Amino acid sequence: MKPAGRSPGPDPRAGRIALALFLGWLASWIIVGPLTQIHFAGLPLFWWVQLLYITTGLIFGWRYADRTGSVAIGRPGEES
Amino acid sequence: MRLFETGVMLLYFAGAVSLAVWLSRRGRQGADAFWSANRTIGIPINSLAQFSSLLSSASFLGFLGMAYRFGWIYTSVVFGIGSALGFLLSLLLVSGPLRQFCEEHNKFTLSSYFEARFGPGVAALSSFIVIVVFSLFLVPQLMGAGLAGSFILGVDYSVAVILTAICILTYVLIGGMVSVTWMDFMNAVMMFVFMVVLSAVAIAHFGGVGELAAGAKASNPRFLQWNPAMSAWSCVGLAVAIIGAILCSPHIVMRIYSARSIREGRKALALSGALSLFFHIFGYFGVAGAALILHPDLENIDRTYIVVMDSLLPAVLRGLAVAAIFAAILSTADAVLLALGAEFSQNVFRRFLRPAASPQRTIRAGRVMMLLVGIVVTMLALRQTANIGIVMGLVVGGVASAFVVPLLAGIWWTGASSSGALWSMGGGLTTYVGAMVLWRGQIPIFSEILLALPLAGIALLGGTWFDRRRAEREGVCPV
Repeated sequence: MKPAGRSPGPDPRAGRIALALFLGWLASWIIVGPLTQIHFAGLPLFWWVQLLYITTGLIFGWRYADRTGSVAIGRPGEES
Repeated sequence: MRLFETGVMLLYFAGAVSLAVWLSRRGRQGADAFWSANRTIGIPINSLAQFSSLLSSASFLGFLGMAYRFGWIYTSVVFGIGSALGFLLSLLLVSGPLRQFCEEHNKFTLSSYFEARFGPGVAALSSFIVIVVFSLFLVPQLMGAGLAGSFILGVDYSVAVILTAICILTYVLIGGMVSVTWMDFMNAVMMFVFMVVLSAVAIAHFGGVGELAAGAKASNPRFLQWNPAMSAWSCVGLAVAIIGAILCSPHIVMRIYSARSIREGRKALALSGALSLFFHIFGYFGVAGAALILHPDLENIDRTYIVVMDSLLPAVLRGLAVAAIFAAILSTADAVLLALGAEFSQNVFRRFLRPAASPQRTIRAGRVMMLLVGIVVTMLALRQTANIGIVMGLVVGGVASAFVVPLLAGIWWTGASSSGALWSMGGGLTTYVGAMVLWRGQIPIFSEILLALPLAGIALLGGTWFDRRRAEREGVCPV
């Protein structure tokens, strides 16, 4: 067996946020039925929820990128 | 033949080749410059290059047609929001560690990462998947060029395919990442402007957003409604495939390597997500809506953009819009071709064939590989008649099924082992292909990936458990 190399160390907080973002998006599909029946400004509420969700996420992503200069090589949690 | 449009297309091709020749001086400095542009690309250029790598012939010819047929709400959610979420997750999950890896090891490909993290077995399988699957990805791009060329320009299908292939090969072979990035930047501007401009022209032409929406709804009542004919499994599956492809496609991952810094690479990803969101929401609304009013019974939905452009734009802009379609094709094909060349030269040629080869010889080997792939896919494109969107969807799903789980596990789980990654990569792709072949028509289209990804995760756990047991038996420290 070839010993595995060390993983480039990610920022654990970014991982938690990404997981929450993805699961939140996935969970929104559970209620896709009811949310597509309700309309706001002529469009399904599901569409508005998704748009608001991703817009907030992108703004967060931009600000996160601005705050983080570099990421350390090492174990999770080590930030340079 | 439409002489004006043909002239614009030829001018565009000539410009692309000239740019490559001019920039090639910068590309001759070494492997780092050729494959990653010396990591000198800033935020605006890199974000537009990432955005244009994502868009392809399907964005103008296939997916827009889906907005026409299945409704704008459907494409907004799946392509617009799905791609933006993909860029956002890439920013948070993979961009930093992969970029840092590139700087530490001076490597430029996804397989190089797999080799450093999991060893040569995983890297070899990764290289094989990238070279075989991504070569097929070029076929629908050239098919799109053939269709657009034959319909708009009046030239023969095969002439348009060969002309496009020659253009792409020329500037990729000469310039490498520098010319591809700058070319993709120009392509992205063309694509973005001509989708958004055409949408704005359509909205103005029909008297405003409300009037356009009312007219489109009269032709297709589901245009602004959720289409119950589209299974939620199918929608989630396609969106997950797009997200996965953005996370792990070699031609998009290479963009992270070419950024000036991690911070700039991440900001470029956020900007790419915003551009993609606006492109798919605003652009598709106006163009697909106008097509429904102008041509309510369009038989070939791949022609949605073409018929609207033909009806609403003056001759000058029409010529440039034709170039925008070709820009979408070129921007994907050149990035994929470069990723294939890097994969072969770095991970096959240097590892298995000539380990002591000089950087210049390695680049030459990559160029030969790109030339061979270009010739083979051109021949395949000349013979193919299959649907562009389906071929692309299948390739994107396959790549995501193979790479997402081992890549994320490699970065985020220090306990993930070589066997786990190997089983996961092979198992994910095999499950995806198996489900597609065995259950075709029995499960919703594009939902195969929803089966492949969990099974890839189980295979990862199984392989890691197997390695640990073996390590315990042999008395070595598990890794």
